[in-house]
Amino acid sequence: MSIDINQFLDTFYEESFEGLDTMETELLALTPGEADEESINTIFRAAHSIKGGSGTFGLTVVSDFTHVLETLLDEMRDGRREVTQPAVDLMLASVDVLRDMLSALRDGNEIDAPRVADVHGQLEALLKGAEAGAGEGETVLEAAPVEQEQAGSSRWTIEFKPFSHLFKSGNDPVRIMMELADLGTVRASVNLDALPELDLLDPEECYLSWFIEVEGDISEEQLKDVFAWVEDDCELSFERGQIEASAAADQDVAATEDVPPTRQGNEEGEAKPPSPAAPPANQAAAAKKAQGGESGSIRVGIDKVDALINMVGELVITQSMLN
Amino acid sequence: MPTILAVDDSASMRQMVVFTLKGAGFNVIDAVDGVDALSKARTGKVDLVLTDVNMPKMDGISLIKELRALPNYRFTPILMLTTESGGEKKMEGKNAGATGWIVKPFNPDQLLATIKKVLR
Repeated sequence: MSIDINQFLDTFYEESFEGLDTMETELLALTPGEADEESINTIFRAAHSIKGGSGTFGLTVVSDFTHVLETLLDEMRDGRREVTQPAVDLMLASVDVLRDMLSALRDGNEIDAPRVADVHGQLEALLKGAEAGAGEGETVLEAAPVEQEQAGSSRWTIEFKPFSHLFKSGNDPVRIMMELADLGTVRASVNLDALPELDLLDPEECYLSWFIEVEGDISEEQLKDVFAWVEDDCELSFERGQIEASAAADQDVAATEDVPPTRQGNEEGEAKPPSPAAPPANQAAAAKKAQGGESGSIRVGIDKVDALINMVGELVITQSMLN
Repeated sequence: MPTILAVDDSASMRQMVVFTLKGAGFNVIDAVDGVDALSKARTGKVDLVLTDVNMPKMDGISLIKELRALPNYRFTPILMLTTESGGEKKMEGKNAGATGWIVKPFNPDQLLATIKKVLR
């Protein structure tokens, strides 16, 4: 489905002009040296809406300009910057510039670029003025070397241990598994070690954790995106192993038998044995199993996990109805 | 189809979001600020809340806290619409009980892709 968002532009212009009128009224009422929180918040919200809308509608010249103005207002809002008469005057000039810019864009006229650049520069100078000296004596940190992305199919091993409160943020491990399944082939083992007896089980808490293998042409960035909403609500680790195309098919049988994946290949495609010094987590789990020491790790299909969590959800609903 | 509560004080953003979601078959309730949203959330069943952060009367962060205090919304997915790509506002939202976020500017396809991940 493709939606032409330009159909909402008229509304955007209309609300932006209203917002600029509000900004002007509130700026004129500001007393330098006094931070009227409600007035500054109102001005900030109007600028923020114009910035957000112009970005959405592709009016980058407006969103870039408003971004600097919004930063200035944000500092005033947080009390990091004093409200001075020159700052108020400059913001009033910015309102005029924005009004002219939006009128020109709406009517298909040319923007007064030199004037926009002039006021934009003044806003930046004002912002940097407060920061002057802040950078002096600072050590310039060298950028950390970026690990080169390996091309081709990979097998990622992921340990995902949600904290007990995960469900209370509205997040759901099943959604995460499904997102992973959109990226590649997923095999997940659920760890039930923390699951209490039924009479002690609180259905609103998450007791399960997972060891997940996902195969495909997947970057670390994509995996991080999948877990972005829960990264502070869990213990999480990724480990990447490269798969040689010719060997991938041979490994299918081993993988379904819960045999630890062999880490293969480096950037040159050479086969590499697993490192004895640092065995992958799934190897450790398999070793534990082989020793007869494990009792709480089983391999369960995503559909079954989904069904299980649905049942728990039903239990919660029934319990609250009974209460 | 699931019902989505879309909250934004910007009329153009609200129109765009409502149009996109209705076009994809969702039932949509829209609200102009946190107070309006809370009132509508109390009177109807909502499967997902999509809220702007900076709004008059009641902002998005306060709305999330209020919703999480309601029995019907303890586990409901709540997504913030934020212009901030950095971590501060996201963390504030997460601490209030947000499920996740969508960073502005976004286009209708990006919006739907995120919604469909949550409401599969």
